[in-house]
Parts: sequence; C-alpha cells; structure tokens
Amino acid sequence: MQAVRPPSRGKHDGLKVFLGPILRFQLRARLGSPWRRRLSPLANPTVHDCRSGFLLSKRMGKASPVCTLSGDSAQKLLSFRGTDCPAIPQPVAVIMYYILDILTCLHYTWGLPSPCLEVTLSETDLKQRHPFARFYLAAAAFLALLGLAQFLPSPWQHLALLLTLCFAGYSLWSFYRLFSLADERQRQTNQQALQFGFLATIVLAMLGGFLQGFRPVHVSWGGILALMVIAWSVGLIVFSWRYR
Amino acid sequence: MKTRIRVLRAEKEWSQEDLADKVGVTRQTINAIETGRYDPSLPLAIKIAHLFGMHVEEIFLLPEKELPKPVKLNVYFKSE
Repeated sequence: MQAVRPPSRGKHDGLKVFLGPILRFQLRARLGSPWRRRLSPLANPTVHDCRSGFLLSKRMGKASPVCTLSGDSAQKLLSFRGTDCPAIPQPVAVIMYYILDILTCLHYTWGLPSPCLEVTLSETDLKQRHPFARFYLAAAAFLALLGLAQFLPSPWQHLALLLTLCFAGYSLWSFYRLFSLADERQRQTNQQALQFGFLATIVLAMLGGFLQGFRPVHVSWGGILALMVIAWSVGLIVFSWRYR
Repeated sequence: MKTRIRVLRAEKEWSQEDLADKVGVTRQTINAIETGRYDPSLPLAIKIAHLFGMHVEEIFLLPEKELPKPVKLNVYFKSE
C-alpha cells in the first residue's frame, strides 16, 4: 500500500513554514486573542473567534471564513520580503515553526515587540511625528538660549533674545500644528495632558513659593516653562496609555 | 460600549488603516474604539455608521444595564 504524501509546498517551502506563525500572529494581533473559544463580544452570534485566529461567519447556514491568509484583507496586513529569504530544509523548518509559534504566543500574551514583525508607519503617523519632534527641539532651544542669554555680553544678548523669540514662535506654531493634525481622541488626550500639566505646574509652583518662606530659593521663568513642558509630556504619556 | 466595527470591517475586508483613512482618524483611534477603550464622538459614530450603510445604534451598543428605563407617557384625557 502506497503511503499518501501531502502535496508539495513548492520551492520556498521552508520560507512559508518559517513565516507562517508570524503571519498568523499579525492577524491575531488585529482580530483578537487566538485561544478564546467563546462567542464573540461583538454582539453578532454568527461570528465567533476560532483557534486559528480568523473570524468565521455563517453565511447561508455554512461556516465560511471571512478573513483568511489568502484573502485581500489578510494580504493587506501582511508584509514580508519573501524573495530575499533562503529556502530552509523541511525538518529544521518544522522545528522553527513550533519554536516561533510558541514565541509569537508569548509575544502576544505579554505584548512584547517581536523582532520578526515589520512595523509599518502610516502617513498620519509620520505627519504627526514631525511636529512633535519640532516642538520639543524648539522648546529645548528656547530654554537653552534663554539660560545662555544671561551670561552673554550686551550685543550678543540682544541677538540671543531675538533668537529665543523666534524659537518660541516656532514651538508655538509646532504645537498648533500638533493640535490641527490630531484626531478627536488625540485632541482629548492632549487636553487632558494640558490640564495635568497646568495643575502639576501650579502645585509645584505653590510648593516652591511655600518653601521660599523658609529659605529664599530663586526659580527662573525658564525653569517653570521647562516644568510645564515636562508635566505636559508626562500627562501625554499617561493619558495615551489609557487607550492602548 | 460594545461595537461591531471589527466584524463589519472584516466582512468588507478593510484593515483598521483603511477604515481610519475613510473616516479621517488615526488607526490607533479605530483600535481604541474596537477594543472599547474609547467612545467615539457623535459625528465620528455617524460617519462610521454612514460608511457601513447602517444606523449608529446598529453598530454601537450599550449594555442594557447602562440604558435608562424608557419613559412611559401618561396621557390624561379630560372627561367631559
């Protein structure tokens, strides 16, 4: 009796097996946890999470996959450079398959960044990243020049103060751009961070004033501005974390 | 708040990025809405519902516990 052999997987057999868990992990990350066998919380009884991580829909009484690896939606999510990778022999590939599957599950569970996954940044992310960097750079330059201007001789001091004003204007413009590019969730986060920043600055300024009653401590305006920016940044991190 | 966005998106074969582009928000916002961590504003909810050709209440669902009891109208007629 001839043993039935599984169909050949082609030339890049090892590569496909190697990338399998990564692809499934990418889909799982977007469609929900893979090991829950329960009705979906999405209020649609025809759709449930299955172990493979794909959503199934019962169309015409027959379960059919809505999202598969070969589907358009999956292909959009998956990005890898398959042509550059060498083919891996079958036994090694199978071992790697299982190791990677365990690793990807661990990555998924603990939310650790996987070195195997290619993170792509959208245009919106890139647009929003630049005003952020510009704002921080301009604010840092503003504070540095403000501190430096006190130690400079008279003609240079005026020039430094003029530059300080330019940097202040640029940082304000970057801040405005940051707000205008943000969507509603980011605006909400930003407003909460601003509230937190103002409150923290007020509390710390009052504390400073209280301590000045005991011992004269000189606090410059630049220090208060830096404190405000730091408090706002902390608020931004804290309030952004809530939506993650 | 529970949403059916993930299901509807999967049926249309859209990624979070696609939907985010269509309604003018970031992918992270769509993700936060899908996972129930962020409740969208009314204009955004209407935009999403319009995109899927549905009503807002068909996509966004509040648990029954959070819903107020419907007001019963007491109509009194004057007896002649």
